[in-house]
This record gives sequence, C-alpha cells and structure tokens, in this order.
Amino acid sequence: MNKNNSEKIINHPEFIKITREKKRVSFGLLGIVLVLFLAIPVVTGLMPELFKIHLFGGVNLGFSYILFQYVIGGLVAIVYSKKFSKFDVRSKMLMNELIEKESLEN
Amino acid sequence: MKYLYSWKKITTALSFILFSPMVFAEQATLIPDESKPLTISIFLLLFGLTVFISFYAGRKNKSVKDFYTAGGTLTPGKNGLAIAGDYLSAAAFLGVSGLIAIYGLDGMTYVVGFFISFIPILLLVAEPCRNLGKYTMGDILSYRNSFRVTKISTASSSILVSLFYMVPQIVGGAVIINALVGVQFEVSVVAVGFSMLLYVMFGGMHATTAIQVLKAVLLIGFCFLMVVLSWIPFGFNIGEFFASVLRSPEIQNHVLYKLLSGSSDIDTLEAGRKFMEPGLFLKNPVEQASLGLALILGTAAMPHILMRFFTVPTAESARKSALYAMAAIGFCHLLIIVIGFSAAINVGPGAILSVDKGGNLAAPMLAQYLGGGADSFFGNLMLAFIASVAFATIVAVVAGLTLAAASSLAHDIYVGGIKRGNVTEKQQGNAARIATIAIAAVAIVAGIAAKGQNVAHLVGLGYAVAASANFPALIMTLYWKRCSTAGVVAAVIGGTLLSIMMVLISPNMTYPLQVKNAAHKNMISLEEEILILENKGDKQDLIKIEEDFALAKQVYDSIPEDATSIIGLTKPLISLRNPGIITIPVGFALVIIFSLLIPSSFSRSMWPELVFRRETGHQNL
Repeated sequence: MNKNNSEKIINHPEFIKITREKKRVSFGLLGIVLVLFLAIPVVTGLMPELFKIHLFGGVNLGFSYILFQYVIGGLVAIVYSKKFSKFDVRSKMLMNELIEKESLEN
Repeated sequence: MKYLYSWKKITTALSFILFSPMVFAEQATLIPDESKPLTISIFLLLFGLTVFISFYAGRKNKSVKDFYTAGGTLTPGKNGLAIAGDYLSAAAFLGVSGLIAIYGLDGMTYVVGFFISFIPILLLVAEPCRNLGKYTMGDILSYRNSFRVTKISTASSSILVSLFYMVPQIVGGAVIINALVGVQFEVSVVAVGFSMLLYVMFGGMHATTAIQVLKAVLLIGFCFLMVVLSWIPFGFNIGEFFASVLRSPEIQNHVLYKLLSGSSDIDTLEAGRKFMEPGLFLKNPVEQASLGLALILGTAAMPHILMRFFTVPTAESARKSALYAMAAIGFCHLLIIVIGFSAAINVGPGAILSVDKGGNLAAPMLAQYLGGGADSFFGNLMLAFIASVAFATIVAVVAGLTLAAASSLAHDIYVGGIKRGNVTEKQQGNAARIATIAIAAVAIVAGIAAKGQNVAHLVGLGYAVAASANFPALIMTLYWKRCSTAGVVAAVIGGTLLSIMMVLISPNMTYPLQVKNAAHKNMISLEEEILILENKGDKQDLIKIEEDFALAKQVYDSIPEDATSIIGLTKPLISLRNPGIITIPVGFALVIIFSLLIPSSFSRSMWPELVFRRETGHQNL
C-alpha cells in the first residue's frame, strides 16, 4: 500500500474518532470484566462472609456471583458486537467517501 | 490414491496393534473386563470415523495456506465450534467436574476463569489478528518489527508454550485412559501422538478443524445428556437439585471428616453449606488472582487459539467466531458445573476419591451411575462412550497444539528466520510436514519420559509464559505507537525466562529433602498405628499398614541426605505457585523500557500501515 495513503487515512479526523471510540469500548469493557472477575479472590480473601450470604435453596451469593460471570461475559460480547457492527458501517462509509473524493494517491 | 491407500493400510494395522489385548495392563479399571470389548468397539468406531474425516477433509488441501489456515475459508460457526473443541480440554471436562465433585464451589471458581479468558480474545485480539496475520503470531509481530529476530524469538516462545500445554494433556490423557480401560501408559501416549500426527500431517487445518468440531459436538451433546439424566429425578427443579447438595450425608461427611479433618465443630447441615462456600480448595487469594490473570491474558496469546482466527475470511467473521466459541464454551461450562455437583450427590466425593485422588474420574463414574450402574449394559455403554469422548477430547486439543507449534517451527523459524522467505510453495509444504513429525516426536518422547512425574504445573507455566511474554509483545505491537523490536524481543525472551525461573524456584518443583522428611513423618505415624494394631491383634489392617510403612521407608532410604531439586535447591525460594501476578507486569515493563531505550525507525514508520490494516483489513488501497 502507498504509505502516504495510509498516513492520510489514519490522520483523517473521522478515522481518528472511530479508532479512539473502538479503543475506549474494548479497553473499557475489558476493565469492567477484569474488575468483576478479580473481585472473586478479593472477596474470598478479605470478606469471605459476603459470599456465604444465603439466597434461596442451596444457593448463596458466592455461587450466584460466579454464575453471574457467565452473564457478564455474554452481555459484554453482545455490547461489543453491536458497537463494532456500527463502527464497521462508519469505517466503510469513510473509506467509500475517501475513494470517491479520489484524494488518495495511486 | 495409491498413497492414501497405503496410509489407510498402515493406520488400520497400527490401530489394531494399539487396541489389541496385548496393550492392556493387568490392573483394576473402572470399566469391568466383560465390558471392555464394547468400549474398544466404540473407541475403534470413533477412531475410524476421525480417520475417515481426516482423509476426507484433507482432500481439500491444495496449498500451504490450506494446510495452515484451511485457505481462510471457514464459516464463523464452524470456526467457533472448532475453537471450542480446541479449548475444551480433558482438564476442563474431567478435571473441573472432579474438582467440583470434591471441593464444591471452589471448582466453579476455577472453571469460570477459562470462560472469562475469551473476553480479551474477543475485545483485543481476534479482529486485529485476522486483519494482520497470515499463519502465525510471528507474522503479526514481524509486521512492524525486525523480521528475522522477531520471527525466531516469537516462534521459540510459541513452541515452548505449545509443548508446555501439550505434554500434560498427553500425560493426563494417558493416565485417565489407563484408569478407565487399562491401556498401558506408553501405548496411550503413542496412540494420542500417532492420532494427532495422522490428522495434522495428512489433513492440515481442514482435518484438525473437522476433528475439533466433531469433538465439541460429542462433548457438549454428551454433557447435555448427563445433565438431563441428572435432573430427571428432581423433576427438572434446579433449586431442589442444589438444595439436595446441602442435604447429602455423603457430602456432609466428606466436608466434616476429609476436607476439615474433623477439626471443626460445625453440624452436618452447616457442613453441607460449606460445600457451596469458597475456601475448601482455593485458600490463597493472591495465588488465585495470579492464576486468574495468567489464564485470562495468556489464553489471548496461546498460539493454537490465535491461529484459528486466520482461518476465516474477514474481521467480522473472526468476531463472530469468538462469539460462537464463547457461547459453546460457556454452555459446556454450565453443563460441567451441574455434572460436578451431580457426581457429588449421586456418586459421592468419597467414592470418587477412592478411585482417583485427583477426582478426574468423577464424570465417568457419574455416567456409569446414570446409565444404571456398574452391572448394567447401559451403565457400561455410557462409560465406554465417555472414555471415547475423553480420548477424542485429548486428541483434538493436542492436534491443534501440534499444528500451531509446527507452523511456528516451519513458517517462522525455517521459512522466515533461516530462509528469509525465499522458498517455493513445495518447500514450504514439505517443511510444514517435517515440522509436524518433529513436534509429534518430541511430544511423544516427552510424554513417555514424564511417566510418574507431576507435570500438571506445566499447564500453568504455559499460560504464564503466554501471558508474560507473548501477550505484552502482541498487545503493545498492536496498540502502542512507540513499541519497537527491542521491546518486543525483550518481553518475549525476558517474560519466558522469568516465568520459567519463577516456576523452577517455586513449590511446584519436587524438593527431595521435603519428600524425605514427609516420608519420615509418615513412617513415625505408621509406626504408632502398627503398635496399636499389634496390641489389638488386627492382622488384616496390620498387613496393609506394614506395606505402607515399607513403601514410606523405601522412599526415605532412596533419597540421599544432600539431594536437591532440579536446579540445586533444598526448598522453594518463593511461596507463589503461579507467577503471573509478577511476570505479567514485568513483561509489559520490558516492552516499554526497551522500546524507549532502543527505538526503531522501522517500527515507527510501519505504524500508519499497521493501524490502517488493523482497523480495515485492507492490504491495498
């Protein structure tokens, strides 16, 4: 690829906006997941009684919280997928716009 | 065709040798002797099916790209299931269900990390890797870093990670098959090694994918059947199922007398509740966090997982693949959790521990129970089927690892590092096949050499190296503008060496003097028991205790006073078993420090192109 073209594209304000938003979504969601996951050893180490709180039947808070990780994982996957599908559309529009304007060097 | 026909003959002959009565050790196994023909028939049926699939799928191999990545033509659904088949190991299925059956909630804590580890893959790795990579992680890292040095260092680390992960899979699998059907350890190792070699060498990624999809479907389907059978007596009332865990006298006694060693004054109902609370297995939160971090970040840099994202045509397909994989893995985990608790309720932790101290046979024992018990046809049919699924599970995981390690060896080290890319398509194909044979040979030899050794910590080491060496190098290459070749190489080499060193000085290693002292303590307590039994005149128990004493004395006498660990230590220097919490930050620090100290104009000049391609997947514009 022509290096000037890639420079032009990655310095385009809309491209910068899209990549920044993408990073914010990816690293933000990762941060949430890591905090919620690492809460398990933190709670079992510092506040073990919290996970022993009885909810119903044979189920306590610790059991529910661990199962909740699967729900969190699923939700994160759905949010990420929806957001990135929108980014795909915006990226395609930008690329088409740039090609139409013929501002790229051959 | 002649070529295929001769191979079919060889495989048929070898399969008969591998499954002939000569290969069975004379020992008590979970599968009774009268049911072994049934088990062997199902084994052979499944083996035959996988060989057929392998040859059928292998016909699609026309190029090196086909061999490594199935030509990049897989659908997201197929690739997602193959990722699940690649990732759901025997450790996840048999080991975790056993952990839950023995330790309750702590087993669940362990398995959930394996699911969460797919989040970084989805968020940070899947799409950029698809857009930038060709066959290996070395391709991605060398995109903006010095080609040769990056390829060689990354490939070396990837091969190590694959072998660290592969050897315990083979050894663990051989031990389980030995306990189930009595096939000799060495024969099991060779059978797994031979099968993976066959699938990978002649079928490449097409066959490996087909085997992994088949295995994922079989595993999830069988787990689903076991959960349905487990819930029928409870009328599918899930609350009642878990309430019965608390009420089970078997579980209550196991917690009171085995896990708490009778030291607690709690009542039986409280003991049942404890089984659903944390702290019976994972007692050190720092260790738990360290293992969790290595699992979550290491999976995103596991070569066999990364490689799967090169098999789909677009970044969108890679994203969908990760989503399908997460759905399949998450569903299977939930089934495994129920299977673990069902084994505790129906088989009992005591009975499971009496057969295998690691609890790995909890799921097979439950399958036998749900089918009608040890004396029933359906009980043994279920057991035979689960043994075959376990074998398929091991082979599918190991085949993926072999392909990943072989691609690093052939594509990165030989083609990239030695030949600098100047090779023909034919030479690349030959290199890939020779590398596959070499990796399989190393894995088989290492597997046999590891007989009787504790190799379980190698899995943790594999994850630690991937998380501390490969992951920082990959993430910083992808997302940090100032990252340079020096930073990447420093992280890969430094992270690998530090992880290995920390495991070598950790309690994971065997310290002969500690073993000697433990044997001495055991001898003293056994001596006291012998005196008591002699006074009682209990001859039967006395014989058993005297045998145990002789065994302990043999261990004590066999270890010299100056014996040390493999690196000359008499005791561990650190208490941490999982080094991730230290080595992962060090890995990132190495990339940053060395990139700032030794910047690279090439790495910097390639940044715009990398960002463009990472985001769009376009090579030309």
